[in-house]
This record gives sequence, C-alpha cells and structure tokens, in this order.
Amino acid sequence: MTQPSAPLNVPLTSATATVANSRLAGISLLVFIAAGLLTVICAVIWGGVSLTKPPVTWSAFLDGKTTKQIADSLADTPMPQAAAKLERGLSWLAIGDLGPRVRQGCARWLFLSDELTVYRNAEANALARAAELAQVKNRLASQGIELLVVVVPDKTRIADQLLCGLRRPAAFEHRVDNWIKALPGVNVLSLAGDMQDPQERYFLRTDTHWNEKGAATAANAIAQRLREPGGFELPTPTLHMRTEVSAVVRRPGDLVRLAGIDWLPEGLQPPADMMRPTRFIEIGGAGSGATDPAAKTGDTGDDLFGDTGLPSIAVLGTSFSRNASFIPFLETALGTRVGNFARDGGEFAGAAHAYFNSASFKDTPPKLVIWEIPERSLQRPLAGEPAIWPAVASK
Amino acid sequence: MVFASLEFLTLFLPAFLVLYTCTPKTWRNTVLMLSSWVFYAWWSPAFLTMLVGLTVLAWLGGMALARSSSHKKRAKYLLVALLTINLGLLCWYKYVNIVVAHLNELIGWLGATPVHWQKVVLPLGLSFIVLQAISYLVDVYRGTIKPSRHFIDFAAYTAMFGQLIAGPIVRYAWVDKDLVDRKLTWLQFTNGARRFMIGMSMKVLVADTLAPVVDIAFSQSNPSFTDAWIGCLAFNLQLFFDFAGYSAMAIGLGLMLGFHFPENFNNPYIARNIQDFWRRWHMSLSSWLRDYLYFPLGGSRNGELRTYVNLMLTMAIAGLWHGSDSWNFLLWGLAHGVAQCAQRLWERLGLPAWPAIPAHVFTLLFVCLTRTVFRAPDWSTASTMYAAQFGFSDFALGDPLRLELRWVHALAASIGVAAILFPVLRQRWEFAGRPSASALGYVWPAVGFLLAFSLIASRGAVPFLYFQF
Repeated sequence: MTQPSAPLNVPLTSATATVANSRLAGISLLVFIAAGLLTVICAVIWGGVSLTKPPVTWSAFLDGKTTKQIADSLADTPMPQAAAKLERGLSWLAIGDLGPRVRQGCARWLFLSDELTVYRNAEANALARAAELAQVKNRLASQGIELLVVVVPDKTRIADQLLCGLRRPAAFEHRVDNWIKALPGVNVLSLAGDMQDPQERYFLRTDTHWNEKGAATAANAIAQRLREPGGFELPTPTLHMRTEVSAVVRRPGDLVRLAGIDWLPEGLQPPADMMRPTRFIEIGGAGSGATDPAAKTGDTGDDLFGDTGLPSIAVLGTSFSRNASFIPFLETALGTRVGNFARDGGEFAGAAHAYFNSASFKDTPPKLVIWEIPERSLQRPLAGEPAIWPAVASK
Repeated sequence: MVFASLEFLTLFLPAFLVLYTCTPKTWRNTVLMLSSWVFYAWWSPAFLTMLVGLTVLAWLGGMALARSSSHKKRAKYLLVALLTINLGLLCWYKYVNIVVAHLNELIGWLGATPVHWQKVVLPLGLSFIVLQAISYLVDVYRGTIKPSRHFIDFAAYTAMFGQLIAGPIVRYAWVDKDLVDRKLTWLQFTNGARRFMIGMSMKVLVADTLAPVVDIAFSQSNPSFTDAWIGCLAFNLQLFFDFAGYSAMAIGLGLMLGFHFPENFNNPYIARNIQDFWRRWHMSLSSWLRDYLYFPLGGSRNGELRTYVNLMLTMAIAGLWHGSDSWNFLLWGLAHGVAQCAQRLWERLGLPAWPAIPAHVFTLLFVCLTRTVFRAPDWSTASTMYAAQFGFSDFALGDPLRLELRWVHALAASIGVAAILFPVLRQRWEFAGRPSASALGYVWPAVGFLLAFSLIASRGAVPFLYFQF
C-alpha cells in the first residue's frame, strides 16, 4: 500500500526574519479592515448607500444577483472611492498613466482608446450594422420619412498630427468609405471631408468631442447636403438667429474625468480647453432670447393643439449632438427647429432604439431623421444590442 | 467571492475576523464553517447545496469506510462507490458540455437534428473540493488517518474559505490537529497578514495588470511574432503571480486563524528540468497526483514500459482536470507527459546531464511554449499562435497590442521578473544585513497591499485564473 507523502512544506524565509518583518503588516491589516468595516457601516447608516435594491426576491438571491448588487454598492462607499482616486492620481503623476480608456498624444492632447481599438471580425460587424441601417431606412421610407446618416469622424483621424507616439491602425483609413459603400440607397454624409483645414482645430484637447468649430462645420455640412438638388425638401426658414460670443470659460474635458484625474488640482491635470461659448439669440418670433436645444418651438399660436410648430426633423445620435451647441448650430443652418433625441453614450443604436420605441415617434413622426453615428462605433461587435428596425413599424 | 474584491476586503473579512475572535474556542469551527458557506454561496447560493452534499457524503463515507475496515472487500466496494459519485459529479459538470458539442457535430454530420442543450455551469471550486474529498476517503480507507467524528470540524475543513475555491489542495492529515486545537496568536496573525498582503500584491499588481495584454494577444486573428511572444511571456507571468498569489493569500489567511497549510510553490521558474518544475509548481496538486493516481497505477514498480504509460496517463489526466471547454488541456498534459518520459529515458540511458544554464533555459522555454496551448481557447487559436511564435508571420508589433501596451505593463512585468529572480540573487548577494533591504522587507507588503486595494477599487475585481479549473 502506498503511503501518503508528508506535506511539501518549504519555508520561504527564516522564522526570525518573518517575525521581525511582519509586525507592520499585521498592524496595517488590522487598521485597514477596521477602517473598511467602519466606513461601510457609516455609509449604509448615514451616507445613503443602499447595499441592495429592493425588492430582494428569492430568485434574485438564488441567482446571485443580490450579492452582486451588494458588491457593486460597496464601490460607492468612501474608502474604495478614495482609494480609486488616489490610484488614478498617483499613476498619472508617477508614470503618466491615464488608465485603459484614455491615451495621450502630444502637447497634452488626449484621445479615447476606443477610437484605436481593432475589433475581431470588424468588417463583419460593420456590415451587420449597415444591414440594420438599410432595414431601418426601408421601414422609414415606407412611412414617408427620410433618413440622413451622418458619420462623425474619429478625433484620431482629424487631429492625427497630434497623435505623436500613438498609431492609428492603417486598416482604419478606409473604414468609413467602405461602410458607406455597403449602404447603397442610403443617404450617408461623412463629415471627415469637411474637417480637413490644417489651420483649424475641430476637436477639444482633453475631451472626446468636437469643439464649436467642429459642431458648426458639421451643422453646415448637413444643411448643405439637405439642400442639394434631389435632397430633402426643407421647410421655409422660420427661425432666424444671431450669435454672440461669451466670455472665456474653462471647459474640463470628459477624458480627464474618464481617466479619473479630474479631482487633482488644475495645475496637475492636463491643461483644460479654454473656450468662448456661443450664445444663440432668436431674432423676432415668440421664442426670442437665448436658446438651449430643448427650448421653445417658435409656434405661431394659430394651431389648435400647438403641433404645427413641432419640429419635422428629429436628430438621433450620441453626446456629439448634445455638445458644443451642435443643435443650435444646426437649427441656425437649417432655419428651423429640430427635435434632439440624442443620448449620451448612445453609441450606434442607443438613441435610435429609444426614439423609435417612443410615443414621440409613434404619435408625431418626423419628416426627416438625422442619425449621427461616431466612426468608432461602426465596427464595434453587436453582441447584446437589440435590433432597431422592428420598432419602426412598416406600413 | 474572490479575495481581491471589495466585498471580501471591506465586508466579509472584517466581519468574519470580528466574529471569529469574539467567539469561544469551542464554537470557532462552527463560525468558520458557516462563514465559509456564506463565502461560497456569495457567487451562487444554489450551488451551496452541492458543497454541503459532498461534505455530508464524504463525512458519512469516511465513517462507513472506517467501520468496514475489517471487511476489506466491502470497504473496497464502498470506496469505489464513493469515488464514482465524486468523480461522476466532477465529470458531469466539467465535460458534459464538450461531449454534447461533439455529439451534436456527429449528429449534424449524419444529417439529423442536433440535441438542444443548455450549457451546464461548472460550480466554483468543484475540482478542488472533489480532490480533497477523494484524498480524505482514500486515506481513511488506507488507514493512514482516522475519520472525523464531528461533522462541524469536518465541514470546516472541506469548506474553509481560505483554500476552498482554488487550493492549495489541503489534505485532512495536514490540518486534523489544527482543526481540534489551534491557537489564535498575535505572532501567527502578523505572519499570516504578511503572507496575505504579499499574495494580494502578486495577484493584483502583477497578474491582473498583465491580464489585458494576454487577452488581447490571444484574441488576435493574425498575431505577429512579437505579439505572440509578448502574449506567451505575459501569460506565464500572469499565471504564476495569479495562482501563487492566491496560494499565498490562502496560506496567510490560514495562518491568521491558526492553520498551517503547506507551501504550494517553490520558485518554479528556476527549475532545471521538467520533473524539477513539477516538484516546484502547484505542489499540492503534483503530490496529490503522485499519491492518489501515479502510485496506485503502479508508479515505477512494474517495469520501464509501464512506468512510461503511467507517466503519460498521470499527466494526461492532470491536463483533463485543468480543462473542460476544449481538448487543448489534454494536449498540454500529454506534452508534459512526453517531456517527463523523455527526461526519464535520458537518465536511464546514462546520457550526460545538461549544463545548468541551457537546462534552465530549455525547461523554461518548454513550459512557456506548452502554456500557449493551455491558454488558447481552441486548437485553431493555439496553432495560429504557434505559427507566429516560430516565425511564420510578420515581425512587427500589431496594432491591438500597440494600443494596449503602456508603461504600467512594463512596470508590472519588471516587478514580476525581479520577484522571480530574487531567490537566485539573494543567494549570490547578502541582502539580509543591509538596513535598506531590511526597511524594504518591513514596509513593502503593506505598501503593496494598499496599492493593490487602490487598483481593485479603480478597476474592479478580476477573478482568479484557477477558478475556471
């Protein structure tokens, strides 16, 4: 009969060395776990942190969803939050690390790493998105609604002279053109061609979005495309704006926030953009005054339910449509109000899915949908994204 | 629940330690058992029934085996039945998906409708739980240990949260005295805390930092030579620091509570041949395989040919134990079996031993290369990586890795390599007397641990690699 062996016990350090070295570790761990437990208790009792989201059901408990909720909630307690901030700040100051989502080019220009990500099956993903869009276009056309797809170029494409050590994959050179070729019959506008002036900056330094120059350029290009012969029949301009330039303000970038270093003193962060925001003032009409994108519709008051003044143009898209006064620029360029249904973080389908399923679309369908899509989301895998076109009921 | 997570560090561990130290000695095993069940159920409460069921089975089985010790035949049948249940459960959860997938391929090839199959999820740590149960039952059958009479003591042993999910594979004989009588001392607590902190630093600072690099390297459809080697070397660092880090945490937690677990790693990357490597890597598994598989198969007692067969069988089963979603693990095990046989043959033929440095380099290269098939999700990925590693692709760094690689990865890899070389360097240079070295040794585990906690808070918990096995 074989006898089991003795334990393979190989001490790594001598006993005395371990004892001498361990006191600090023991005290540190005690202090750490005491602080950890106390901050969790305080956060739950006084800090408004709820470890579980009611109702806690038996099935959610058995599936492990309840424990996952608790784990997620702990990230909102003070100690992990402070530790995360400290880690991000130290990593930035010590080795210039901005985390997995942000990369630094030259002159402290920051870029979103998603724009440089090479996806597996990228071409197939792009084709699948094109097929989805073609379906939506056909469904909209059957309801008499036109569609203009607007592709917002990557910041890494337009500000490529500021990439320095970063390299944009060569395969990305033609990804928008190839995608447009996969969409015969769909009106697609790539904004890259309109943002080529080397003397201009179209994007913000520490933000993933365009600046007002970029937004205005995009708005004018869209208006120009819609006015082309055979294009969309724009309503007679009813909206007239004049613009004023405001005082210089500091605009903290979302990439600084994404890198987790927005809590550092300004001097230790990458320098923020200084900009003079444009104010839009309507000339004449009921809606005079400074506007924001969701402001008044400028109706004349002679319609029974106030719906004649409702925008006949709906904008879908991402935070690009919600930044740098893009919508007021577009309204100015088109001379009419537009409904903005864009969503922050909506990527390819987020805003479209919400809008086509909404009462706004079903009750008061527009005549034109402008769908803004960032280039970086064209080749992203579709996994988990719900199909959009079934929501656009065909007639 | 994983050790490197907010819920463990800020909720479970503090609450457990408070409860455990405030409990009278006679009730501590009850607290340990119940807390360990909570720890296990955190991932999926439904699977707790399986853990409890296996514990009850092994406990009752152990007592029944002891009672049958005078009837050898009856005891043998009982042991076979108990092992069959344990191994049957393990095989079901680990291999049913891949078997059904192949069956469906065959059915599809024959033109029939494939079987509709909902994938079976492998319960966390099942492989380790079953190996522990088997070692206990076999040891009771062999008469080398007495069965546990107290269910709570035994359940505390099987469920002990420190080593429940990813080893080390602790045998009952190693902790039976600690289970009955152990002391909670400041000295053990501080020593345990130090090991725990070192393990956490290994896992989070090195392994988790390198994890995205490995993921990207192994997910490319057309990796370059540079991509493939960066991926391969990073994976070898990641695997060691992940698993050895987990083992250090388990040993540290055990020590804090008064248990003395065996070491699981002994500088494996300084091994000079493949046998030496297996004597240093995952020692609780390799000694388990030796004592409960290789020796029962006959070991080296039944002639040369049978010895080679036994070596191949042992390593093939070790490979299968690791993997359940592809046959790559079997290939990996067979490769190590061939290497063990080749080494044995070399020695038997009386051929000269290799010089130290080439032997070390060759062993390390073999271990690294076989890990490619170990890490790749399927043979297609593995063959693409091998083609790139042997130069059948471009040389330049590919775009995905170029985007991912940052200074933080170089830093983590450098720390990893330095830590691996430290035992060698320590032998050559006298560190111990130097004040700077003493101060560093005193402070670094605590600093590393706090940095690791900050990283966990910043990027979220990353599961241990060995959880999947």
